[in-house]
Amino acid sequence: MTRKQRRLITIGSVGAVLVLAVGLILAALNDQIVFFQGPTDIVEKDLPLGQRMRLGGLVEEGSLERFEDSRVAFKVTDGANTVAVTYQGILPDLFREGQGVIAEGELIGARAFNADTILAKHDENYMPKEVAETLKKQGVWKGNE
Amino acid sequence: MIAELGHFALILAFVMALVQSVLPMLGAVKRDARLMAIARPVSIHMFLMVGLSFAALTYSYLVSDFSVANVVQNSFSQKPLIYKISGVWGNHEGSVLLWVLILVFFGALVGAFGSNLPAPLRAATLAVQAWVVSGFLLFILATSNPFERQLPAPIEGNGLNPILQDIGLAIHPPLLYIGYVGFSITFSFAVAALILGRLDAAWARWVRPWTLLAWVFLTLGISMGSYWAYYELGWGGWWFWDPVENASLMPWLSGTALLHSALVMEKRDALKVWTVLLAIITFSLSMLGTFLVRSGVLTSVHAFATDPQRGVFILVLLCLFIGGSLSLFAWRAPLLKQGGIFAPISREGALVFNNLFLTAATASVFVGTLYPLALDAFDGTKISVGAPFFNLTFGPLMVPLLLVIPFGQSMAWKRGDLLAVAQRLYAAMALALVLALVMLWSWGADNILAALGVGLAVWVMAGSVSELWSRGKFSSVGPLKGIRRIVGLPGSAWGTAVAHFGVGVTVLGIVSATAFQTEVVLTMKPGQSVDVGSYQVTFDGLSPATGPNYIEDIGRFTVRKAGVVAGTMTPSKRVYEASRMPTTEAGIMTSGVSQLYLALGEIHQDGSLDIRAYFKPLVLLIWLGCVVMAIGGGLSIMDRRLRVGAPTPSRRRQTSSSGTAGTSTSGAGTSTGAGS
Amino acid sequence: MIFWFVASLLAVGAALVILIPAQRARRADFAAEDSLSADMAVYKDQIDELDRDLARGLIEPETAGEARIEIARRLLGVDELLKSRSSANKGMSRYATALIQGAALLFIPVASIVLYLFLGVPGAEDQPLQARLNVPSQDQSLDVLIARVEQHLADNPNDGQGWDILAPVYMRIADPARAATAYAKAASLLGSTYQREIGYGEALLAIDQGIVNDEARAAFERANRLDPEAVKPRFYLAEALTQEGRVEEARTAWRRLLEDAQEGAGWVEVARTRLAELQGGELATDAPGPTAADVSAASNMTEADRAAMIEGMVAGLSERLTTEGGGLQEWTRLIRAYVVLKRPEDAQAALEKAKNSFKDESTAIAQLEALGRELGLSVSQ
Repeated sequence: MTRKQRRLITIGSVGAVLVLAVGLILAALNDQIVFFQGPTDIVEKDLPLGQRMRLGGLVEEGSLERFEDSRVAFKVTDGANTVAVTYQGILPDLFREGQGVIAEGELIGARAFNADTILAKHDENYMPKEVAETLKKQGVWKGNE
Repeated sequence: MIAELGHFALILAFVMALVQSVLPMLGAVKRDARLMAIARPVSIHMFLMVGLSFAALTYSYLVSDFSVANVVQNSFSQKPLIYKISGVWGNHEGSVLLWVLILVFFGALVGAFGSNLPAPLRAATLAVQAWVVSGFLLFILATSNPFERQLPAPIEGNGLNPILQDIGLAIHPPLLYIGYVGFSITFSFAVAALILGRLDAAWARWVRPWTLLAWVFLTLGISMGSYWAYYELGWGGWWFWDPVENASLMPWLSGTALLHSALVMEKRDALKVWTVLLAIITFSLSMLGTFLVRSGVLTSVHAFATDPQRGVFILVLLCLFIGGSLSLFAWRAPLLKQGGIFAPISREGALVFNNLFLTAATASVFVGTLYPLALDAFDGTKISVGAPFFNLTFGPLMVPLLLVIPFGQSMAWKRGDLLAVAQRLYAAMALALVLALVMLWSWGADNILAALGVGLAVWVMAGSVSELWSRGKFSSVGPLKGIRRIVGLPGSAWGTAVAHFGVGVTVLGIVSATAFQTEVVLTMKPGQSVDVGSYQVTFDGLSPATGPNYIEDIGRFTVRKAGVVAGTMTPSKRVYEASRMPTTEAGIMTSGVSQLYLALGEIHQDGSLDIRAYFKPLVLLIWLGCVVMAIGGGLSIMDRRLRVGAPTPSRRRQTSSSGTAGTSTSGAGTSTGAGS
Repeated sequence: MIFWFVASLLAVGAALVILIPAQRARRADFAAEDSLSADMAVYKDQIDELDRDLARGLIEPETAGEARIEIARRLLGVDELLKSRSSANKGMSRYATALIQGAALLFIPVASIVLYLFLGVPGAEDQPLQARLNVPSQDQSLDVLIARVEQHLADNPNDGQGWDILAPVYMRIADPARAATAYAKAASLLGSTYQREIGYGEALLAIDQGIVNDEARAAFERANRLDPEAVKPRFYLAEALTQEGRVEEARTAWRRLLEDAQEGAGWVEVARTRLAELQGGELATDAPGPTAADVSAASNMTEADRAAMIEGMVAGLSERLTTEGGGLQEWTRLIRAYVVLKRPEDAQAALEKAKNSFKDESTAIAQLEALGRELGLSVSQ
């Protein structure tokens, strides 16, 4: 094998792996990323049903209901709009009414959301960054930042 | 006075770091022995000073000195002793101090044990290390001073985040830091070599033990962090693709690539440019990780600092070090001479393959971690990139890597014989195939991926065993001599085989715990039973208890297997008094290397409660495999070859391999490629 | 002083760490070979390994030969480097001395001390918690004393005496929640006493901002049984009845209480007001009066404090009524208050203002005039 051939093979293989990696990343970015939306986004943007997304906001006071088999329903609000969320499973330790929450799942109606993951963060004072910004946008929360 | 002395020692260390940054470097460039001579003692003294300062801070925590603001914010007089100690680094200021302590510790190690290094390289390396030390000490003194006083002193502190009151946290950050800060030494070696214009096989040989050391600690740190998340967070998962976890995974991936490419450089004087680039990239990723965690750019479980001023400061440091070293690289690298050449099918080729895939994997993690941040900064769109992204990108990149590990480690340098290697691996191949088919047959076609995963894991493990076995040459020398041959193999050969075996073990754990786990979520009343895997779990009742600094509700469960009581489990929900914050303590029952995992959810008025139960077969293998990998790394470090280099004639009796025989730690793969 | 001594020791140590090795190195010759001999060692070592592997049959003679040639080539490279370097710069002795001495003797001590003076708090002592708690009591602040008792109680949570001591202190520093816990613990450990029950009740009252809740009422009832004569429980129980709107019972309770009253007691006026309100047929709950907690706080105060507090309340009421107006009942209370405070002019003025604001309501005017006469104010225009 000549030096030139070797170089060609090197470049070829590096290129192949590169194409593979970039392809994988692009494909994954296309399908697997999840957008973050606030209740107002959901109401105003007319998002398609069934699309995966993260919904963030405050758990509305007094909206939490519990049903059989660890099913829960609650409302997420940003002050301006409200979306009803259903979820089956164990809520995180820090899930509270009036506190920030992020729900991941899909839209099942104009203002209805079915979550398969609920995130509440591990610090009482902590407001998930996205939630804080959404709420600030709606003028609900005046955090100490 | 002790607190103030700690403060003074820290300042003194900073001033010494400034001196160290300039004089030895000048000495190395101008070849002045006196200027170079100060590098070693100063590196050790700097470590003593930062150590003194760290000890002073620890003392303030131990005696609850609430005149130190950092203690007020993060401690509490009634806190158990162990958490007073771990509280020292359980906060922003303390953890950056620990970071710097480890940075100077590695400098001191080179100072103390680097007698085999040529004086200019050693002096320049320690000087570069001191640049990093100065940068981060300045960061501490300017924005995150742990010795700030609060006068008059309050009588009680504000406590510590209860989720951080955990024994895992006490060990986890130090280990993780030792790992990713350890790569600073490799970085310093690379920058020093670029400045001095000397990069050759000898350089690679001097650098490799330091790379290995950092790699071993990082491997242990990551696995311990993963185990900590597994049992503390109560979500049953062991890896969340959390940005903080990714921040430690990226330097691990590129550090692993570096280990392998440094080998090619050492043996064949090839891949020089690439190896130096990897050394720079690896520590840059470590610093990036520090930046991500410390600046509050991300918010995640571990991020307890959110202060834009600090973030900007670290960002500037980051740009300075990364940008500076990459510019230096761009300027100096073209001057490097071409090294040895090799055929595509060879040990070198396999290592290049390994490097390609590891860097591609690093890149995919990098994109997944930083893309959301970039997008947010760019147009304010908020996205989350979670496990699905990484499963789709990282996973496929790992498969070819694992496939070729057994080939790679058996391949000869320069020109390999693929057919001969394959013949040696027939047994391993057959074993893996048979096992995969058995899995497929017993679990059904739905689990084809899981069956293939098990086959892959077995292939990697069996390949490592077979590699060691074939070195014994039993057929030609007989069993006794063969065993003696295997035992007498150099440490690095054992290290390679053991570390790769560990990779297989981890893969097996991951595949099994992911594909075959049973998950049950339900509400249970006292007396009720539920089947989890082959176990029957009965909820006996709840009872309150009081710990040293928390109160908890303990759920009592009896576990039966086929009607026989196998044990009891007591997961609990805790509320810490200092902060009124609830946490979940998972109950874990281990049998063999499998685990039954219970986490409590909401406790209802009527005494029933929500539970989440998992049976995770072979889950412990995930972490055991990491430990095996670390042991492999340790064996490699112990190889006496790596300590060679000092002009001492007494070092005559090393065991071991040669510049060209295939015996040292290696990577994966056949594939193509030629030297850079 | 010790601090500066140790600090200078550290700085001197740092200077020596630089000076001594440099001094030693001056005597050694700084030949460039030194640096390259390390390289030679590595390559020679690689050849040794090669020989050994060959001897053990780990590699083929053919590959060993190739490798040997490669390593030998590297060795030759080092040799060439050595030759080319031997003529190169061999140091910068003149500047080096100045640099080293300047760094060790000038830069290190001056920079570290200046930086420290700028950043540190020179002379600030350590303040370990235990040492602070061990200082004799009279020299300590209330906070320290509380912390000391708290620490003691954390170790001996069953020491009822400790809770007894701590409970009223918590009330004094306005931490009723802890006070309630402390009273309850003392009572459960040492048994129920009048003091503990009334303290517990008052703490609950303070938590609930003057509302006598069920638990507080139970505490007052227990206190009343323990000391039927005592005024406080009866006062609060009457207040409870009033708040619940049980008008008849409340009236009886206040009346009984007033029968036993000693003149000049701080609470008497409140009781009278309450009674008057009840007799007016209206419920007191719509008019914000002094809460029971205020009163209980008042009864713990010195005379001067109490007067100041009442003055403050009256001033507030007057201000509000003047600017926002208010009900007849509130005006009545203000006027009475002025009389009690022996400020007849103010009482008179308030009466005029009240009449002015109710000038369209003849019944209200009539009631106000009746009140004026009762209190001995002038009612004619």
